[in-house]
Amino acid sequence: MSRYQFSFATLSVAALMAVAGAAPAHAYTAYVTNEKDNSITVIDTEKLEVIKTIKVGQRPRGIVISKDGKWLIVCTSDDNIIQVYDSKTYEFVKTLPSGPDPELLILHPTGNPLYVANEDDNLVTVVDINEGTIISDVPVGVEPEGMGISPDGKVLVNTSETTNMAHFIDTETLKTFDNILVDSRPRVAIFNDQGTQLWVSSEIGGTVTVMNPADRKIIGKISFEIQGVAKEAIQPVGVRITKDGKKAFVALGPANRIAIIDTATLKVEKYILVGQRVWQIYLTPDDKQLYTTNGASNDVTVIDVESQKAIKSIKTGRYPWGVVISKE
Amino acid sequence: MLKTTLNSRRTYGRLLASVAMVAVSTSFAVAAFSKAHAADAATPDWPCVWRKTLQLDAATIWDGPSVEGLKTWQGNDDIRKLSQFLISRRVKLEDVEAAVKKFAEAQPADVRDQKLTDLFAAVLSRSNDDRKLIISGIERFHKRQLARAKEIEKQGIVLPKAGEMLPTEPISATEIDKLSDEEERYKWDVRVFQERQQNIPVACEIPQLMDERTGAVARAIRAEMKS
Repeated sequence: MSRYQFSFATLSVAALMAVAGAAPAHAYTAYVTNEKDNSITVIDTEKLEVIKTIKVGQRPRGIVISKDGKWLIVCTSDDNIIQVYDSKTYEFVKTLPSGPDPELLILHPTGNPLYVANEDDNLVTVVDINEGTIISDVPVGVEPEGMGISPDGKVLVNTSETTNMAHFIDTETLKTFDNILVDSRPRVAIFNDQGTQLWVSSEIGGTVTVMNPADRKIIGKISFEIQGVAKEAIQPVGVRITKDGKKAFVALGPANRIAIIDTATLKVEKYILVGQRVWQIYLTPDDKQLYTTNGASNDVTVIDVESQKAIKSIKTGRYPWGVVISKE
Repeated sequence: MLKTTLNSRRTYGRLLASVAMVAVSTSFAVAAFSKAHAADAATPDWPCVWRKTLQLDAATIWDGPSVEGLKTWQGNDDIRKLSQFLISRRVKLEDVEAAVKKFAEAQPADVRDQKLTDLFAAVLSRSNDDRKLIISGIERFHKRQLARAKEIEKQGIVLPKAGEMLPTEPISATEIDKLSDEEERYKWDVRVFQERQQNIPVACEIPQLMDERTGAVARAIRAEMKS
């Protein structure tokens, strides 16, 4: 290699590295369910633009992506069924059974089965996503809602809106082995990736309860206070925790804020103003961006996690509800 | 036309049957209406699913400087006119953003953020004034519906029950006419009630749409601020 060629190659590598460093984020795809429009808005997370709107069944709410990233699995609540769409071609694939009014759902860490909370029949339905069959139904409290699963897949936690409880279910026996009372109208339950904390948000209670999944003892309870915002407008719903387990994000409903919380001290570090009536949230796989669905302003807000700033509002369909982001 | 059709074509039995059916279905509808209405004792004149909030608080859509008690905008013609333009739902969002940008660029750098804060105060104040009007309108509408529901319930009691539908003896033409009038009035009242009832969810959306609009304008203004 001549001296000229060598320096050219070095320059090219340097240029490539500079470009890579300047790129805002890896290009993932975000899928947002629009409850009122019966559609899913597809967003490119690098360009921060809508690339497609998919027509789906009636009142789409909870959404997950299959472990291999190929399927979007959506609760179409008013059709009382789960619909599956191809995440790349956006084609309809098939339906999966559920109970009446499925709302939120979660996959076992191995990718199958799927656990569905049916708001209208007080059951959690366990569905084999490949066979399209119901494996079992687990009775829980009144109006089941949030679904969390431990990283090892052994414990499923379901919250019931009216009973105000977190129900702990053994995924082997499908039996409830503990019920913990939390504040009024619990919504979302989520484990950290380390399996050392379980977070449960209470919409009417206005709090988030943090438990130790090992003994179900309460580690702490988080309250929120925002100057100028009425206490009853603070309604915690969506919760997400970074992979390292250090930071948690809580969506506060009509307070139009995301609270950023230090998981060691359980103290709120910052409130970020987002769109109106923020319900569900999702982190990109690299934990660099947080997407929030804002039901009353019909948009998603993109938050840059490092600078803790809202960087963009992207218009969706009417009443955006659930959000999931592809793994690649 | 309805009267002619009813008087000329329907037999007494069919007539009574339809009255009874309407009476039964309406009593369910009206009872459901009263129950739903009674569910929220704190706001008895409020028919919407959304919680009744008289005004949108600045802090829910604004993280800029405080606008509490800020009234300097009232003496600024440009801001007053622009704020009226911005909250009109006929104006597209891109035009809102362009107008805010143009306003921001026209301000001297040292007062730019202050003027933009004034503009937000004006937008919020005007929007909240409109909001109060809409909310009292929804309440008045709902009160009239409550009165209508009571009247229908009364009429339903006077009308024959399902089991008493079929006549045991032939009745005179005068009696049929009398009954058709009652039925007709009843049917019309039910129809008016039901049609107006369908408008309530639409009316309830208006404060939501206004808040959405005010939020979008607030974001457009905030985006032009340096602080």
